Amino acid sequence: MSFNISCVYDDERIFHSVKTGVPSLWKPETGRPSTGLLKNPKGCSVDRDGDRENPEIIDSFIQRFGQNNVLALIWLIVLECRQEGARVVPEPIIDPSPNPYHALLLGAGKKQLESGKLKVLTNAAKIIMLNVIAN
Amino acid sequence: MSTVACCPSAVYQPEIQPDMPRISSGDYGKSLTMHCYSLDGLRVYLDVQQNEAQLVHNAMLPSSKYIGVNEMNVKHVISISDKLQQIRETGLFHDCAGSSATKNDVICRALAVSSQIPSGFDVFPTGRNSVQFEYEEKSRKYIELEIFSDKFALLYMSDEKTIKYENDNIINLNEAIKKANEFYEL
Repeated sequence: MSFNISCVYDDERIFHSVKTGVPSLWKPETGRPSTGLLKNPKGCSVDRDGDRENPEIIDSFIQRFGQNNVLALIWLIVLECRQEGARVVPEPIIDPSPNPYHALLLGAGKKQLESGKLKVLTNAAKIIMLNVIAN
Repeated sequence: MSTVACCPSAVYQPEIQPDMPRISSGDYGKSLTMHCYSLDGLRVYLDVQQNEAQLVHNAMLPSSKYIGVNEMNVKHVISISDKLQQIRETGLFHDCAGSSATKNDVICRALAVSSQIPSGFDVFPTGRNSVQFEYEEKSRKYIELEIFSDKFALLYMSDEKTIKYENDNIINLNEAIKKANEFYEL
């Protein structure tokens, strides 16, 4: 199915990056990030797959943040998010760097998702490691 | 294993000092001093005198698995305070909206709570002017205590999908600790 900028389908994937910086939000003992990564009063910023394959998506994050600054990408299928009561709202960015794939992961209404739901989603997320964790 | 010469103590004194919160944990071998002021004006002072050789040999105080019990692992306290220092100075916490006074309050409250957190917990910043203590077992049994400038939030889960308790508006720390300890009965 081709990318529809204003409509998010159940089978799309959404991506969020984990940075390499300090303090780390990565938990080596579980191989997953802290839910702190996704907690934002405005909603959690994600990129939709936009009918792109993984290498192109990975490259877009690296172009934006730098090769050494992205530790991992986590991704979820939109249906998994919706099953937890989350909404994926398209919010394309126009300036300064256009990103038609940008969206927000939100709870009911305009609220951010509850901590428990964020933890369930973090547990369900698939991981693409891009860098080695610094000690 | 060598024994520890003296016990850490946490003294709470209801006096407000004008100086900014400060954390000093760089002198790893000799002592750890955490000294700051929480939002409600309580002076929080924790001074751990330790012998360097004992630290090198990984000597530990007997630590309880329960939150709020005043026995602690010195290395754990140092590790948490160092990470809170990092959170205050850098990273996501630094980028999120909110005044620096609010952020200092959060760090102070987290420091006060850290003396009651058992070893095994780690602390992380969030993007909403809070920090959170997390503990997770291999079975994905999980507890999270989030510290805001004016409240606490508590979540615990018995496995990766089952939420057993969630409350994002706990005002009283003792209430949060009491509820958090029910996690260990799961």
